[in-house]
Order: sequence, then structure tokens, then C-alpha cells
Amino acid sequence: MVFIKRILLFIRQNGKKLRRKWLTLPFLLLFPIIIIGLIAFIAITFFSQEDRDPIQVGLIDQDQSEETQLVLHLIEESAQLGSYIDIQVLSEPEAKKKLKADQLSGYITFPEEFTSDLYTGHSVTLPITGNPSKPGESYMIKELLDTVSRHIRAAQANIVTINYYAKQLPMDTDERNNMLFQQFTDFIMYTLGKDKTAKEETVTNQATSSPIEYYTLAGWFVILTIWLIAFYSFLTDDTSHRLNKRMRLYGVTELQRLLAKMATAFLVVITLAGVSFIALQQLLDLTLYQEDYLRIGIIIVLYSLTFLEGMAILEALIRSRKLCLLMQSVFTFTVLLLSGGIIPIFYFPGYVQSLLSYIFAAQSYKWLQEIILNERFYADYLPLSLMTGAGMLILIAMSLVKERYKP
Amino acid sequence: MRYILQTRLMHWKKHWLALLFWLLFPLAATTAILFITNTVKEDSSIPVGIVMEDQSDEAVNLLESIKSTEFIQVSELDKRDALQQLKKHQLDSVFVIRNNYGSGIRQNNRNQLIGAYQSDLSFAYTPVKEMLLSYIQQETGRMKAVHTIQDLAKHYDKEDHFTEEDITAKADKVQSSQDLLNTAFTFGKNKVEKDDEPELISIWGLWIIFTLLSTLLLFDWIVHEKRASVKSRFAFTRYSFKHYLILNSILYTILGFMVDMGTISLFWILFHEKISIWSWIVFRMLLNTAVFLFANWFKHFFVYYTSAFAVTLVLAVGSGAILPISGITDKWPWTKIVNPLHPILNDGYWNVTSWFIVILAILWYYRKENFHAAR
Repeated sequence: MVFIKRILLFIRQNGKKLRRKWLTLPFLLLFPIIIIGLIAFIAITFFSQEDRDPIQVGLIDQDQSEETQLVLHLIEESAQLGSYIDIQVLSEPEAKKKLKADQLSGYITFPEEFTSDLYTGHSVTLPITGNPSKPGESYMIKELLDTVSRHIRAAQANIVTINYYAKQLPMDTDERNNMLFQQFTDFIMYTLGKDKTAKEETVTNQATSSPIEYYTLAGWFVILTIWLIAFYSFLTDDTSHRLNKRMRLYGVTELQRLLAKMATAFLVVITLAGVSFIALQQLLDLTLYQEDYLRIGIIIVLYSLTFLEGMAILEALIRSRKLCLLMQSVFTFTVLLLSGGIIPIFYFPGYVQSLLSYIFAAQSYKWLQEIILNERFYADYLPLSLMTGAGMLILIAMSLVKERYKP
Repeated sequence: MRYILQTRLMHWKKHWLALLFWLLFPLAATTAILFITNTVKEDSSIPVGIVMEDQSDEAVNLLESIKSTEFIQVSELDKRDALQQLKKHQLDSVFVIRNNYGSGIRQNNRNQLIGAYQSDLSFAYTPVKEMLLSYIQQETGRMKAVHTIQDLAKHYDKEDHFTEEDITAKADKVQSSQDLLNTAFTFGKNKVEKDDEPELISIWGLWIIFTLLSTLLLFDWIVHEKRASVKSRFAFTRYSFKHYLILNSILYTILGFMVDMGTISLFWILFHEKISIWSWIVFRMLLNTAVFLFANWFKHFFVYYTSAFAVTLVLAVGSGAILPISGITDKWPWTKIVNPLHPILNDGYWNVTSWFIVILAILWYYRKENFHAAR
């Protein structure tokens, strides 16, 4: 009874603290939203590449043959990812000057005897020079050239083979060379048309899980988690060792204060979660049934409790405030990363995936996704409740043991 | 200065473990994150659904070659299941090997041999498709060469002279025995080795963010000592409190430089990554000045700690150290001159924020001392 009374006392005290420092509350509320907004903004500007300038690539053609023209065409056509490149033929000093002036992202050199080496099967190296001040674009050029040279390599093996057999036939050299050029052109054209091999289709699940819905839900989940750590940390204060000792004399344990802090943070964040969820639903225009709200509510309650237990366990374990905050931040990042909100879990390595069913965040997020995005009418609370219970037991054990060995 | 050093050494002696931890934290955390991301990157695989409508030898060969690709994890499904799973975002992409695949390859007809399905959340569809197409391309290319050679032979009345098996064997041999066409990538003055792929995360970006955090947390002595009851006694010593703070932060800055030097040489040895020395020196000086001013602003150390983490998070997200912000800097170039981490991330020295920090520091130094012995 005394135990609960004390917890209630501390909850009331925490509530007072929140009211006293109400000026910081809007900041706490907005901080995660600003962070998520910033990330979304960076992502959107990064991926909307339409109005970006084309990548400037220089080309030094020391071979000057018809074949190099074809290869040039192949490079232009192979530029993937929707971004396009602008190739300009230059002399070597010109290219070097433009690279220095940041007018080029890199340049490619076709060496002398490029074509004849290709036909005879001699090894050829295509030098690419990147611009150190534009590393991303330089590596894009390199990737592009690697793709192109892989195509040429495959074609080249065939041409060298044709050349080998043609030599055994009564053909004169001019005729053979003409035929080889014909074949080279054919193979390049053939490579350009490679997309004909596949019939491409995009499958969408318009109703619920478009990327916008997917990432809005993830964003909400991240905001919720940052609120949890922010309010929990806000309620932590620098009570001196002396005051702590005096409180211990009155029989106040650390566990009581931790639980009170958890409870206060929980009550605040659950309220915020409810309000923000309604906003989320309006925003995404989700259709949910009455039971769904109950299910989502239960999952969020269990998730928040387990998360706060993690915070409290770390606080009971680590005495240095700095280190404790660092560990709590690391905990938060790990939880968010493993939840599957940021990176879908099926991209994780197998051993991580098999571990995920034991991680409360992954479980919670999985069921949230199932209910909200995949319209399922079921959620399995058992693993999640077990984890919440286990977390509570660990917290109690940790803080009791710590209390006993406190100086 | 000697007394300052002596008293600080006494303090460090008592807290050497914490000091060492926070000094080495940027190095350790950067290395750990690089190690983890590299391991996960190597071990992670793309889940791809394959639907086999054709069971010919050619189709089975294709399946085998997809299965042997390292980064792809194949599940064989029927079409309905595969598309259902793709819709629920449980597969990255689905490829259907159509029932005309084998005959198409043999007859040198390559149109629509496979069906390729992606969802609107497929991150790896393009590289997987390219891989598949280049394999098919190689197969059909071989067939094309065989047809060409046999046609030639027919033209010179030497039919049956060259068999299909001979020709494909020869072509395979040519392709595997000779290093036919390579690319050599140079980047500035250094040649980039084949295996030196760019890291997923910039190593210096990570290190800068962790250095920022650790410097902020190391400078908490300012918040602690400003609160100390001994503060009023400074009026009776040779040093004013202001000079005490400045001299001590110089000590911390020297310590920072020493640890940085170790880190930079270690990164060079371990990862062959280097940084412009002058921008590092300027960065370190400005960082410590900024942190010094920032810490002077706080009265409660827990508020200081949480603010330190908040500032670090904002800069980690928004400065371009970890997330690519080229989309923003291309559109709004002025963001480059107000981003405090832009100079160090781009081998520069300073921008507007640097001058802002310097001006603030001068203002701080020449403002009126607001305590006296009488108080």
C-alpha cells in the first residue's frame, strides 16, 4: 500500500514538474515531428531528380572509329535510374581543365587501338577519371561504365569467336573486317534492345499500402518512440546524491521513482498517441472498425510500456548520467531500426530475421502494419505481453539488486 | 598555466576512465558502425520470387544461375502466390520464366521470355532485373553467334563443319580465359582498387557527428563547475573565473587534437580514408569554441546533456554528414553557407557559421564580468 502511495506521490510530483515547465512542452512535442519532417524533406528532394541538372561526362576519343561512336550510344542508352547524362567529346587538356573547374563529374577515355584490340581479343582497359568533389556522381559514372563494359565483354567473346571461325573459311581480310564491324553493330543494337526480353509490370496495392501510407505509418511510429524517450528524459532531473540518500532514509526506493516516471511519461505519450493517431487516420483516410481501434490501442500500450521498461532498466543499471543517456539513445535507435519501419524486415540477413520475433518493437510494428495496412482483423498479443511482463520482472530485479549494493 | 594544469590533472586522475571513454568514443563508435553495416550488407539478401512456367534445360540453367547469385534469395512459387506476396511487400520482386523460354533461346528469339513484376516499394528490382537480363543476353548472344557462324559456313559450303557445342565451348573459353575489357577508375590522384567500393555511410561524416557528441559531453565540466560553491573564491585567486574556463578548455582542446591525430592515422591504416589536415584543424578549433560557448549557456547539467543529444541528432540528420542532402544544396545553395558542418564535410575551412561563432566568442570574452568578491 505504501509502495503504491509513494508511486502516486511521485506521479503527482512529476505532473507538477510538467506544469511548471510548460514552456518546454511544445518543444518536446514538436521536436520529433521536426526531425521526421526534415528527414522526409531530405528524402523527397533527394529522390525527385527531374529538375536536377544532367550529369556532365567528358569523353576523350583517341581511337576515333565508328565503333567508339556505337559504344558512346550504348553508354547514353544504358543510363539507368531515370537520371540522364550529358556526354561531350573533348580533348584531354580540355577535359582536365573542365574537371578542375567542376564543370564535369568525370571523364572517360577510349584509348588508341581500342577497336582493333576489341576484335582481336587483346585485353583493353577503359580509364575513367572521377571528380573528387562530386563523389556520388563519379561513382555513378563508374557503375554505368561497368555495366556497359559487361555488355561489351559478352558481345566481344562472340565476335572473337566468329572471327576465329571466319579465319578458317576462305574469306579475304577486307570482307572479314567488314563482316566483323557488321557483327559488332548488330551486337550493340542487340544489347540495346535487351529490355524486350522482359515484359515488365508494376503490381500495386492501391487500397492501403502505397509507399505514402507505408512511410507515414513508419513516421508516426518513430515520432511516438521519440516522444517516449523525450518525456522520460524530461522527467529525469539532477537530484543530488545527498537528497537521494535522505529519501532513502524515508524508505523511498529507486524503483518507486522509476515506476512513477514511467507512469507519467506513459500517460502523457498515450494521450498524444491517441490524438496523433486520429490525425494520422484523417491524413491517410484509413477505414478502420471499432475492434481495430482496440487492437491498435492494446499494441501501442504494450509497446510503450516495454520501451519505457527498457529506459528504466538502463537507468537503474548505469550510474553515469551521460553514459545512461547515450545507452538510452542507442537503445532507441536499435529498437527503431529493428522494428522494420525504416527498412522492411525482409531485407535483413536471415539470422537477424529469425531474431526479430523476440524483439518487442518488431512484433508491435508487424501487427500495426497487418491491421492498418493489410486490413487484418487479428493480432497476437501473447508474445508482446510476455515481453512486457519479462521486462517488468527484469526491471524489478535489477533495481532491487542495485539498491542493495548502493554505496 | 601550471596550476591550472596541475589541478586539472588531479581531476582527470579521479575520472580517468570516463575521460578516456569519451575521448575514444568517436573512434570506437565509427568503427563499430562501419563494421556492423558492412557485415549486414554482406549478409543481407533480396527476396525474389521465381515462377517456373517452363521446365526445359535452359530454364533450369537460368534458375540455377539466379540461385547461385550471392545477394539473391530465391523462393520458387506459383504465380498467384508470388504476386500475392509481392502485393503484401513480402517479396522485393517476382520474375516469371515463361513457357516459351527454352524454345525462344534455341530459336534465337528473345522477345518477352520472362515476365518481371515489381511493387511500388521494390528497392532492388532494377539490379536483379539487370542481372537476369544480362544472363539471358549472354545465352541468346551465344545462340546468335552460333547461327551467324553456321550461316557463314553454309555460304562457303562447309556445312556440318562447326557444331553448336564446339562454338559455344569456344566462346565460353574466350570469355573466361581472357580479361577482355576492364575499367580503371581514378579519383583525384588516387587509383581506386576494384574492391574499394564506396562505403554505405561516409566514415568522416560518422566520425564528425560522434566527435561533436563526445566534445559536447566532455565539456560538461563547465556546467558543473559554474555551479560549484567554490566559484565565488575565484575573486581571491590569480585567475579570474573567465580565464580559468578558457585555460582549461585549451587543455581539453589539446587533448582533443591528440586523440584526433591518433584517430586520423588509424582510419588511414584501417580504411585508407584521409581528411584534409587544415580543415580538420580549423574544424576542431571552431567546434571546441562553439561547444565552450554552448556549455556556458546552461545551468542544469541534465538539461545540458539532453540538449547535447538533441543538437547532435539535428545535425546528424540535417547536415549531410549521414543522409545525402545534395537534393537540398542543389536547389538552395545558401544552405551550404549556413550549415556548420559543410566546411569539414567538403574539405573546406569556414563559412558564415564559423564567423558567427568567432564573433560570439569575442563578444563573450569582452562582455562585463558579472561577479565580484563582494557578492
